[in-house]
Amino acid sequence: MSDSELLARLQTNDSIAEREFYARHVDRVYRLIYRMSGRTDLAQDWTQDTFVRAFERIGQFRGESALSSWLHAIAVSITLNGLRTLKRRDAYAAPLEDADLVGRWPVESDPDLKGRMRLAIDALPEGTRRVFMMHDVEGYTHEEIGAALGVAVGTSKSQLSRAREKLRTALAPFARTELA
Amino acid sequence: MDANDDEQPLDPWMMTLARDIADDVEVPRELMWKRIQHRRAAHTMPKWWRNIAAIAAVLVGGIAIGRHGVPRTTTPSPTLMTELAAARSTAPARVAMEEHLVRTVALLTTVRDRDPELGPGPDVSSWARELLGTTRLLLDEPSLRDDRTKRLLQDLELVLMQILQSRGTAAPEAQRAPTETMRETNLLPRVRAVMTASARRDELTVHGDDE
Repeated sequence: MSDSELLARLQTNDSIAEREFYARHVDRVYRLIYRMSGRTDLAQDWTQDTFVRAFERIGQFRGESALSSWLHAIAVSITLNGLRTLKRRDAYAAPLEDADLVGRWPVESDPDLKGRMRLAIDALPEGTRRVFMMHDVEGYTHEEIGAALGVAVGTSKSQLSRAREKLRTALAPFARTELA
Repeated sequence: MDANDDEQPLDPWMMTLARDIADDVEVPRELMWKRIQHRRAAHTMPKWWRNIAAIAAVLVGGIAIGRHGVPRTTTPSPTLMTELAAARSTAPARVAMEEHLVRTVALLTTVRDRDPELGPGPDVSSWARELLGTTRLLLDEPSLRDDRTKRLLQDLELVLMQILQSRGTAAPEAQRAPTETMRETNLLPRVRAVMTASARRDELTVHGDDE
């Protein structure tokens, strides 16, 4: 079923098309939100919110962009709103000193590079990790991150700088092997 | 400009790892689908007749298609059925990728031909972000996981990321990165080769249908 056929059927509340739409996009949406939030519980909640909102608003979609891009925009909007709420609730900017925890795992404890990178990213303070994921993985600018998360541009830059420094430190033992 | 703008990005292998960390995360598809259904049902209960009408329309449409759309000819051989099923399962993804590559070539050409001495040129960031989203969707597509396609999409993903990251910084290294990667990975000729191959395949299919 092409995107245009799928859209036509979605706009008639076709439940089979809705299931097809969900099956096509759920993995991507979930992983996007997981990368940005770093938490599986939030990824579940906000993925559900994304699809509920998409199904509610599909009638307004006029096909100016690809369905996938439209859904992606909804997911990002919901995630950023959620992160802003979390920030207000949990005090977003954890002290940068917490990042010193990164890089303390012994090299031999996890030979899997991807696993090690995941541990290193997970160990970054919340705000630092979000800035890193939004900038280096999702491609947002510091200005966009500042506006989305409600932090100063300078804060976003220093958080990114700290995140990269800590990740380099954590992955340093593997750098020679990779480059070789 | 802040000093941090000139900060060296992470090594490419670290960036790849960072991008891939969510790949192994298990997606609780059925659990989330049930919750979505439950929430929607709670919101739309007064409009239940709409759902029934929609289901009825689908059923009537399905019956009509079944009765009139499917030619009552001889039963195809099992081999032919298998080939048709395989073609149908991959065709939408292939078509989506080909449409995506057409749009990608336009962006890559714009970026490649941009003269840095004439300034930053048109802002292509929203265009690049949309293409990046689609590229990642295609990377997740099971029917596009042959090595050639996967490598092409991964290289394209990297260039699109570099285009996005070149904004907001005057660092020459960041400005040069997209065109250098395009050149090193021979990206444009590879994209065009895929487009040419698919055009030829379509042509053969049309001629095959005529015979």
